[in-house]
Amino acid sequence: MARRRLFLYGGLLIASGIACCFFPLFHIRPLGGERSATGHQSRVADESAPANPAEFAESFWAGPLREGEVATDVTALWKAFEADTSRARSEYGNQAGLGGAWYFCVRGRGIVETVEKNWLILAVAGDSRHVRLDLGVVVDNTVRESLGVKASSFANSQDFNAVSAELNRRVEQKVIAPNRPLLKPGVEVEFVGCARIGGQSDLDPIRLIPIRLSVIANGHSTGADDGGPAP
Amino acid sequence: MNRMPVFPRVIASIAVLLLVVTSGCGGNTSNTGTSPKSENLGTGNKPRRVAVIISTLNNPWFVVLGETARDRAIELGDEATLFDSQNDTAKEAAHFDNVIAAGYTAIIFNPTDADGSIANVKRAKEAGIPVFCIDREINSTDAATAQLLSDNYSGCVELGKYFVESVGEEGSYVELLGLVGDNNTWNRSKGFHSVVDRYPGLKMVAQQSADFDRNKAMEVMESILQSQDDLDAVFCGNDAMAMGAYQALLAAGKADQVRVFGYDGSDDVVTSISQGKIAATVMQYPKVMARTAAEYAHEYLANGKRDFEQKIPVNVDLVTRENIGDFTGFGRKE
Repeated sequence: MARRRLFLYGGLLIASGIACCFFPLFHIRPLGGERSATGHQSRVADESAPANPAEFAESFWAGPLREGEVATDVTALWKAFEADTSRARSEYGNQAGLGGAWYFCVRGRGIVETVEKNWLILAVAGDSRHVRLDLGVVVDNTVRESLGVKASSFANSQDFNAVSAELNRRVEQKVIAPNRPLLKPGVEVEFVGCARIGGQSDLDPIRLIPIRLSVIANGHSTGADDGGPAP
Repeated sequence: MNRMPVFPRVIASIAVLLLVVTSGCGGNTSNTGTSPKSENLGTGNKPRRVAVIISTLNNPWFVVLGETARDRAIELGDEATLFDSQNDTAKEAAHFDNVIAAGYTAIIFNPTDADGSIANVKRAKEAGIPVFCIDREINSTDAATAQLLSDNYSGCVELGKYFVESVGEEGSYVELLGLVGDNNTWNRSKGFHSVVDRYPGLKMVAQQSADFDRNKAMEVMESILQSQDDLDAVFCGNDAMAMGAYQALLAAGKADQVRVFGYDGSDDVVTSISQGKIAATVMQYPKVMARTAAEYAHEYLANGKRDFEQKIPVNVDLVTRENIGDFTGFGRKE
């Protein structure tokens, strides 16, 4: 009898033990273990991420933007959209994430037709369509997305968004502000700008946030932005 | 009364003591030591089991997020189970322990804390289980397999522009923040302020956290209204808080005077916008995020896909009375 009970209790204990292995009643961890693991992760992530948003923005400003290689000629972009919208997007644009809008970096030359408080309209040689350059506050992610900055480069999306704020600040202070007094009807300008294009209505006028801008006088650029004349 | 003999009782007592003491010690080490499950995935012999771990199911938006992910996984032929972390990091950690021990093969994860949840994701990764974060991010680029995140900053830039249009360039407003440890809270706040702070005439007279919670938002708003009786607007970091703030304003007889702005696109706020009670919200697409995460998990498990973008922003849209006809709760009208 005692032996039967012994087997019964033993069996129950073994079953309980197996259950406890899969569903432990509690865990013993070193104090602060999770915190240190988290800290380690953050540090690793930080090491793989850009040092800081301002430096990251500077590297873009001084690199691809100065070289002007990221931009598509505005008339070529218009023609590409006429021919095949999907191909124009995939060939010249960047899509911001899943289901997001398409962004483009565009360059060209035009004559100022009208100047308003927060924008101006340019006529482009050889094309009946127009360009609208924004001259007011710059607040969204158009510049960042047009330049193809990726969220995956940043451990923390707050840093990713801070890059936008920094790029926008540079556009306002280094491109728009110094050129604003020079922009009058009849003046010819060269530009590189960033556009968000959702549909056909966004193509004429194509609305650009200028990231490089220079006035043409006697056939020469007189850029007032710190990046020099637009390419 | 029959009594157990002394010897078996001693043996049983010692065994129980040993069991209790040792069973809890395996937490980190057993998970770390588990062989990567991915070795067996290509064969298709192992059942595909997806755990959907959601920060809280006490908010309809997250219920939609979790249930959509679970249902999509089931549609794709995977087993799927929904877990509720109740906004508690300890419960979330326990879910990960159980999910790893129980042999789940993928996790769709809505974290409770951008930093505090990294260790959980890392443990799953060490156990060979891919983790797909949805809606809320973790501050890491090398722990999760992919992270699908609403573009909160852009959404609140658009909301901020509409706020200035409808409130004007002068006025007083209150901001109700979400959980202060959550990146979504700050991305929304910073996007909003990147626009509104350009207008010096718009004064923020109070900024308080209400933890994304409707009841807490109502209490906070009631308290603020005791000292601020000349408000023009309230910006809330989610729709639950917007509804709580609206209730407080309604009770104070100020619902017609103060414009309330939310974020999420929940069912009740979409209805309230059409009724003129709430001014605007930003539509996130929880179903899009959840379905896509379930499809990514399926691609990983069934087809061996590995080249996922680490952080994938998901588009959001401003919802106002002008375009309310295009939207329904939690998405666009189909």
